[in-house]
Amino acid sequence: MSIQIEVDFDRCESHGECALAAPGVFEVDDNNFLQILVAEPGEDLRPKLEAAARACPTGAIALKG
Amino acid sequence: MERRRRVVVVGAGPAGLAACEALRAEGFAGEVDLVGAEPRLPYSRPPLSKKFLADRTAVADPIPGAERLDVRWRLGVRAVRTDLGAAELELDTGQRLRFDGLVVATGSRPRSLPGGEAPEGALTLREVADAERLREALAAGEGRLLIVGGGFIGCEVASSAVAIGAEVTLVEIESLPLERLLGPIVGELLAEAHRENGVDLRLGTALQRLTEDGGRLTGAVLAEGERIDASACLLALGAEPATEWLAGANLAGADGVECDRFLRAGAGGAIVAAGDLARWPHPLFEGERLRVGHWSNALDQGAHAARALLGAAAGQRPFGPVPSFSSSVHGLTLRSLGLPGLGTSSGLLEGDIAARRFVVGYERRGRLVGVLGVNMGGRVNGYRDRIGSSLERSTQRTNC
Repeated sequence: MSIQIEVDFDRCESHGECALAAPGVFEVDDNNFLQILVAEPGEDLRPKLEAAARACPTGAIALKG
Repeated sequence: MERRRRVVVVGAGPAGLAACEALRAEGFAGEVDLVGAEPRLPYSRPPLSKKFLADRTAVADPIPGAERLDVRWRLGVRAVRTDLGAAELELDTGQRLRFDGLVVATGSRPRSLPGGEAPEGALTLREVADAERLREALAAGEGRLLIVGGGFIGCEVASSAVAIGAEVTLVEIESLPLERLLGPIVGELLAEAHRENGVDLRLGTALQRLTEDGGRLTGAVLAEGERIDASACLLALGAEPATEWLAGANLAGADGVECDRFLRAGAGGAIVAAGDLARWPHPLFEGERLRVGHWSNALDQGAHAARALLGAAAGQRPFGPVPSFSSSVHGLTLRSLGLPGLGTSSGLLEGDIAARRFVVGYERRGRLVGVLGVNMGGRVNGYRDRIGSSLERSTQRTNC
């Protein structure tokens, strides 16, 4: 089963803390938009995803599943 | 591994939470008590100066995973004293907790005005209850909010307050907001942004005193004698370590809890510290003893300190990640890596200052010690490996 990443883009301000905590999953692109690079992250990524959700200064990241 | 049976974690913020999790992740099967002064699960603090103030229905978001912690919660309870001889912690309920491992993670508290009681209406911002009081004062909608101190909290609150229609005066003793920490390029931009957004910005001046009428705040007198009328005042004067409960135990120095490279604070490794109050020699910054009050630092240190407490393999490396910090002010996202405040010179690394998208680098003795990106969150992370290790002179120098 994969983990579902939900980003609230009304909250996201593209600080990039998530991309530091979970590189390869999150990236702030050159236009300053957050991109999610992994469509269906597996359980092996959970610690990194949780670290990313916690590091987010605007609380924009939620994990489901 | 150290054979511990009973660990008490004091402080239920990000550092305390991360410590408890790491204890269990390392397989610690003994008792864990988590003591927190606020009557709520560990929550995300950064939004309190931002979104939380603008939305009357907003509640504090628990830190993801907090509800799953396998600990004995002791919330709404304060530690008042610790007795190292007896290895006991005393709570404000009178209860005593024995421990053979202690994690010190009580964070910091806002600085107050030197001497004397501030009148009613003089607020500080740290916890949810503080943010609720500030939000109520803003929602009352009458009169002006006076903010004393143009650091991150002062700038963020000014930005949040004008966004919901409040009138704001911001008083900062330096000649630009955050200049000492972030240098003149960022300071100029912040001053400009405050003025564009209607903040009455008073730079290079100090608060002489607050004025009151029957205990109720009426405003302030500035250093030059000028009066400002205000119905509420936020004192945003920085934070100091919350260590009074350690006073008898000889653990707290003049500026926090002194730790070794592994975040061990004393008692032969049975006491560790993490978060805003921990001072330790940071390997990336020539072993300089530092305290770092960032959100992500507290999360990282909590986990590391717990591993050091257990003697786990990961805790036997010196603690030294590159610090990371985020702020937003009037729609500008500020993101730093490293410690810009340690820099003695700064200069543009990339981007366009006029377009408000750029990265500034901060150097000390020819080393890059930090970067700060404005609306360039994606680029900032790319500097991580260069911070602290760089010997080449890579910035276009400007003096500051």
